[in-house]
Amino acid sequence: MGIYYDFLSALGPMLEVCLVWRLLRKEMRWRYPYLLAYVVFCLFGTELVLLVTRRILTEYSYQVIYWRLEIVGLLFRFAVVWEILRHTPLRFQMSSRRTSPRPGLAAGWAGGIAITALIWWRAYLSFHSHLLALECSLGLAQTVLVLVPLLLIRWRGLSISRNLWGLALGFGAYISTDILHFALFDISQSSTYFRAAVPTTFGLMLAFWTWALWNYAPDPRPVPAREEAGAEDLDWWTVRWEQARTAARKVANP
Amino acid sequence: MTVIISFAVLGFLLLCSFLFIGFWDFTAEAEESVAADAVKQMVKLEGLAFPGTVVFADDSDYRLLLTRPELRGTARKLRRSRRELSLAWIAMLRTDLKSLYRFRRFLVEHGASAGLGEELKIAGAFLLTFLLLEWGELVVRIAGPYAMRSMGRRVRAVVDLMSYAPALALSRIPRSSWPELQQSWAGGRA
Repeated sequence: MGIYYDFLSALGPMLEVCLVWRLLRKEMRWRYPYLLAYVVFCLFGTELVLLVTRRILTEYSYQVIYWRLEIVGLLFRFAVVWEILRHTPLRFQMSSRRTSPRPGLAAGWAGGIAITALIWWRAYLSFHSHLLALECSLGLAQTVLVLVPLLLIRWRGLSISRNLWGLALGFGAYISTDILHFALFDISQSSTYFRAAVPTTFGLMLAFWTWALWNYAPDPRPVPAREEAGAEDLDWWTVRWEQARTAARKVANP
Repeated sequence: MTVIISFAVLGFLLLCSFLFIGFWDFTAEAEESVAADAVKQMVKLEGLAFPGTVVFADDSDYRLLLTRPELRGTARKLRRSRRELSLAWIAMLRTDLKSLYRFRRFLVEHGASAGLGEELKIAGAFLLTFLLLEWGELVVRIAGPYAMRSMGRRVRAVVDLMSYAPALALSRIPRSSWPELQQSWAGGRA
């Protein structure tokens, strides 16, 4: 198990460096600033700090720092949610079709569910640890905020870029797994499973992000159909040609 | 305990939802129509721009002229001129194809990165299209312009399809840089 932990400890920073490199390329630069901030925080604010504190501090102090950084990271994940939301094509649809109240209504629903999850006070009474309750309730809010736009995009028949698709899917799957893990951890208190499962899913999310963000893919926007112009040219030509043929037939059969 | 279990169940259900969404293909690799239009604006494609290619392969007027013995000479002249026009059009399409390939290389040099697999696939597609044009020219030279009746439309469609190769590369470059690229490309050709 020790080798596996070491592998995970090395894999996370490697993938984060890789992601930062891809996000800082010319065509991707400043397109995903909130995501970049989150990845940089994970790299320097979490991985590096934990690597140092594990070696120089006691086990108790390490745990305290780990959970504090975990809470900061949890709040920082809203930056990723915002990054996903600001790139969704629903933003353009909502601004161009103000007569349709459906996207606004759905966004309202999403916000309502998110706030409900956030203030779900019973969770804080049921969980053994308030930190675990916070992880689950905020995680649920973040997942809903990502899932609802994806469902709306699908429902409205819109398209999204591969970058955004990978970002939203990887993030949503990771947070969902996190909710499951933290709930199971609160029930079973099995630290071995917890210590392996959470970094593994985080590593999987980073790997998925790296794959999805490897090449730049711009966000598609609705474009007007331009096939009519070609059809008009063809019609014009056909009419002229029919006239020419009629004239030739008259010449051939006077 | 019920709340904790409900969180676990919710987490599992949400994970299933995201995995299910993963199977939906609603991504758009590129703004194909926008980028394809932009490619056709940036690169001068004379062969593709010509709308009356179907006319070359239409032999109804030729047959009409052949029915009159005194007009058979005119029919032969018409056939010859159609043959020359068809060959000229194929040459234009070949030039278009070369321009599209060069433009794609130009875009790759200016930051539109592509993997080795994609490069090989596109190079193969360009080569096959080039061979198709050679075959079309051979058919016209041997069998005459009217043998191109169905082939002409297909050849044009294939060359038109190849304009999506540079469009894909162009879509990987931010749209704000497109005018600069257009100027650079036009400047390089001048």
